[in-house]
Order: sequence, then C-alpha cells, then structure tokens
Amino acid sequence: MNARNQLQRYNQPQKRRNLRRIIAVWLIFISLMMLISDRQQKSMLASGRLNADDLSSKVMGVLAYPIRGVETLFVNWKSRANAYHENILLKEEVIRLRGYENKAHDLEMRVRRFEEILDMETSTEIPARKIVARAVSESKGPFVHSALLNVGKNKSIRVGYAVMSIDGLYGHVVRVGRVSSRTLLLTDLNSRISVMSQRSQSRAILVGQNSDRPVLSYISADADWAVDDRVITSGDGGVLPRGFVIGTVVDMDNQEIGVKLFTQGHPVDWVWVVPYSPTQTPESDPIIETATTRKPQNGEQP
Amino acid sequence: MNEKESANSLVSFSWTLQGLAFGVVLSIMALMNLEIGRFHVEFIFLPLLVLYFWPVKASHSWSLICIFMLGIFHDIASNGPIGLWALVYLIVFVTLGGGLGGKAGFRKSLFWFILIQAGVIVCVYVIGYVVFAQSVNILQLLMNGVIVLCVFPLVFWFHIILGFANEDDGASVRGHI
Repeated sequence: MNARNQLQRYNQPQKRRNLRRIIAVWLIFISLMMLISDRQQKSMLASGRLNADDLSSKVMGVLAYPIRGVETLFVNWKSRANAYHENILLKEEVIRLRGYENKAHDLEMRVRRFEEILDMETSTEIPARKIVARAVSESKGPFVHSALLNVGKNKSIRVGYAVMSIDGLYGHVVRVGRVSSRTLLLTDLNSRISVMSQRSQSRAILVGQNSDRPVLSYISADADWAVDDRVITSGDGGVLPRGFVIGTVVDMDNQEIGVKLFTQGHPVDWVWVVPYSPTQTPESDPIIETATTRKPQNGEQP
Repeated sequence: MNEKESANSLVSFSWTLQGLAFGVVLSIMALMNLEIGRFHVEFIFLPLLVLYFWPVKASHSWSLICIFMLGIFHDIASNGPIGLWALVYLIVFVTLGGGLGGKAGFRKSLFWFILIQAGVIVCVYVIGYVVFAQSVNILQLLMNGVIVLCVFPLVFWFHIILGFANEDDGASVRGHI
C-alpha cells in the first residue's frame, strides 16, 4: 500500500504535465475552430459582442477625453505653426469662392424654376435630421477598421445608418447595442459603397483595403475618372443617400484608382449619424394589388 | 489533498486571476488610438506584455484557460475575428512555457520580448494570409510593435511592484493545477 502511494506521488507531476498539454491542445483547437467559424458566420457570439461594445463604449468614453486632448494638442500646435501661411491661403480662397457663391445662388434659383415647370423633385436625399454621437474608439487593426459610437438603440440608431464627420462620410452602422453602436469605416476590407464622380457622374464601387487609401472598383470601360475628381455617394442600390462627400481621386496607377478620404488625417471625435431607410424592393414591401390578383380593366384581356 | 496543498492551490489560482485582471486592463488600453498627423498610433500588442510578465506563481492550467478567455475578450472588444488573439496568445504562452519576464534582467527581457513580438507579427501575417486570404499591412504591425516597446519599461517596473516576478514561495505552488 505504501509503495503504491509512493508510486502515485511519483507519477503526479507527469500527470499534471499531461493534463496541461491536453488543456493547451484543446484550447488551441477551439480557438482555431472559432476563427474558421467566424470567417463563415459573422453573427458568432453576437450578444457577447454587443455587451462588450456597451461596456467598452462606457470605459472608452472616459478614456477618450485625455486621448482626444493629446490629439488636439498636436493639431493645434501644427495649426499655430502654419497660421500665417494658412491665413493668406484662406483669404485667397474666400475671394475665389465669392464668385462661386453668386453662381450657386443663381443655379439654385434656376433649378427650382425647372422643378416647378417639370413638376418633379430633384433635391438631395440627405435627411435633415441627424443624431450627434461621439466616436469613443477607433480600431484600425490588421483585420478590421471600425469605430465605436456612444449611442445605440437608446437614440434610435439602426443598422445601415450613415455616419458623417464634419469632413465627410466616415462609415455606416453595422451593429447596434443598447447604448453603443459599431461603425464600419470606409477603409475596412468589407466596406463597399457605390460612388460617383461629381464632375463626370461616372459610377464605381469604393472598396476598402484595410489601409488608409480605399480604391475604386467595378469601373466600366467608358467611365471618365480623373485625378482630383471629387467622389460622392451615388445612392445606387438605395443603401445610402446620394450626395455624401467622401474624398478625392489621388492616383490612377496600375489600373487602380486610389481615393484620399476627407476624414483621413484628422482625429474624429464627434460625428453625425444620419437616419436613412434604404429603398425597399417591391417584393419586400408589396401592395395588395399584384399582377396575379389584378382585375382586368376596361378592354383588357384577362 | 491536505490543507497546505489546498491553500497553495488557492494562492496559485488567485495569482492567475491577478494576471487575468491585469490582462483585461491592458486589453481595454489596447483599444485606445491616437491620430497624430499622418500617423495612426495603436496599441494592439499591449496585452502581449501581460503574457510575458505572467505571474510565475500562477497555476499553469488555470493560466491557459484565463489566457484563452483574455484572447476572446480582446477579439470581441476590438471587433476582430473571434479566436484570432486567443490562438496567438495561447501559442505565445505555450511557447514561453509560462511568463518569462520575471526570470531575467531588463535587457534580457527586452531582447526576448522583441523576439516574441517578431514571432507574433509573423503569426498574425500567416493567419491573415491563410485564413482570411488577405495580406496584412506588415509596416503597420511593425509600427505597433515599436509603440509597445516604448511602454515595455513601464510594465517591467510595474510587474516588479505587483510581485509577479517573485518566485520565493512560488516553487511549491506552481506545480498545482
């Protein structure tokens, strides 16, 4: 009996080592399976993600104040250093824009007149109502570019709403929690936005590449894109309204058209969430009368 | 299991929880970002420091479970693919055979940490290429690595203060599950 106890005690460290190895192998296997499953199914641990977003939005809301303070310090320092030069440039720009202002007023008047004559509505689809939010954290990791907003269902945020900064379109809402929401940035690999050139109205899809510079894709052969073209949302597909400014075309090398975002290079703190209901297809929003139920009118064959 | 062994198990478990708590704090701090001019400063490798300075008195088996949970927490909080950091952290911890930072001086610790970071960058790159079929921006990862190296001395000093490196009464405890 004594010898058996001694043997058991002798074997204990080996047993423990074996147990550790088994645990390690199992956990690595589970992690790998989760990684592969998450690639296939985006809704994995969805409730866990929502709760984590709610928690981190509160914590990051507090931490964001000193962080944004440091950022502002650098921005202010740079602005002060260039103040004299910028002042001269701004004065020149104001003089240049005065002519455009008169032209814009004239065009607005003429467009309104044409609309009245044609009895049609051609105004921008951008809704007037906006929800103010704070981007408490911005994640630009190796695989995901997203931002966490401190508003959620409590402020009637919904998936698909556009998120704007003062410079331009920032992204769109992909997940909504109770008091937080997650925004997919335009630079994210999964971001696809239908856009057009403000100059030529050529269409394309803005594709994020997990880098600072998204590119234009799905461009037709006869499309007219040029460097310095302003890129705006086209509203095609009815997912986002038409007319949100995004950035400018900066390079057209190697059959790739790179876009510099207006939101790039500035610390983004306060944003607007723009409520917008995507255009519904007739199938998803049917009226009672359909082709099969419709009764023949006078003179029509059934 | 006698009373002394039970007490030792409890102590080693409490050290594991301290490591986990420290890891959660660093994971939340890793969500911070700074936009300074053209540079976007991130701290995504910050939780690696807690693996490196994992308490030497902590239970090894429980540590594995806690590190897995820490990785999942980081994945969820950073909105990344679930399982990525859990996998990377586990590989690092198993490779290290537990925390290494407490067993060496500052220079040696820094050298080994640089090597581990390089390994993690390669690991993330390979996972990105194989699982996600996308090449990760290696320059961005390298820059994040350099940023975490700047924080290294602070965490090294902090882990000594917390007693994570103290092995005095750890030898008898470490072996317990």
